[in-house]
Amino acid sequence: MDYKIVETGSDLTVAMSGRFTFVDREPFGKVVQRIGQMTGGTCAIDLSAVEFVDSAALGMLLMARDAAGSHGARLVLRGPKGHVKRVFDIAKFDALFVIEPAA
Amino acid sequence: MSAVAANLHGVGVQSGVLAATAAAAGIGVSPAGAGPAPRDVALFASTDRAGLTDLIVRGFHGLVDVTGRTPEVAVRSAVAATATTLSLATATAWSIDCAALVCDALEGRQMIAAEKRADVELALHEAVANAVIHGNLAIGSSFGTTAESFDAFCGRVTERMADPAYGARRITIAIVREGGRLDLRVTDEGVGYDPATLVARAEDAKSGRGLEIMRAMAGALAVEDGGRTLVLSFEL
Repeated sequence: MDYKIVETGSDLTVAMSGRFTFVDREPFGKVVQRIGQMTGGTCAIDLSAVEFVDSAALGMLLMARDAAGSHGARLVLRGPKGHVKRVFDIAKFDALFVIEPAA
Repeated sequence: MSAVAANLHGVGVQSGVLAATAAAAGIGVSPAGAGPAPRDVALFASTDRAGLTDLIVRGFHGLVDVTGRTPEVAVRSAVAATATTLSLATATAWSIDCAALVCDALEGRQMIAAEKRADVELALHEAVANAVIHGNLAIGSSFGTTAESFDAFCGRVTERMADPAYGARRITIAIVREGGRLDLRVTDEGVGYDPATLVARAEDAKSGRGLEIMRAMAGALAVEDGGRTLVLSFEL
């Protein structure tokens, strides 16, 4: 998994690409840390270039959501498609996250 | 009982280890460079996923990781098995992305269609993760709910993986294709579990979705051998 963080005012966009699985716990841990420093605004995790997620990745996204919520920021998931969208549907992620179409 | 005609091939394995393992397994050693005969098994010391995939595509009946415990027992089982078998040390199974390896091999042997691949790969990935963490590494708990508990969980995985008492246990993946059905059997060497004791997770729990995902991806799922074997079945 690769990622790029873009800051716009108090908002963050985390653009991820590739496979996102348990092995990405360390790089994604850094993302969660950065999200935890937000004091408001919105963090969008852009998943439009992610091809594969596993159940550990779902857990890590929930941790990112909690990290944002702990200081009043909100987290949205953007642009899941194909297999990733299917896994989100199975996990009923639409009840747990705001999921936006690709930008 | 008649012996099965099979030879052992070495891939990155010292010739002494190859000869000793073949002798202990009761089979011969293949001449260097020879192609695989129908029941031949490759004993490997490699984490090169593409190279291992190629061995399955070329028709090896079994692949046995020399870094796992009792390789001679694993070789004997692979020779006797009716299915194509991949036997990996826990640490290897975890580090080489073996679900992708198996799917590359299945595609290479034209056993699954490209559009079915992601489902098969994700189900197998989850099955191997369960076999590694809850089976061979005997870690009962999962991530917990916070970044701290997640880090602690990852630390336990790393620690157990480095301990040969856990890390050298084997994960075995058997590939069975019968007509329009593909079964992938994932077996660990843990103590097993009773599927009836699994409790439902909370909606927003950070872990516990693996089984649910496997159920959705595979046409059928069965637990055998006291919880040590999970069988994923796919209609092709």
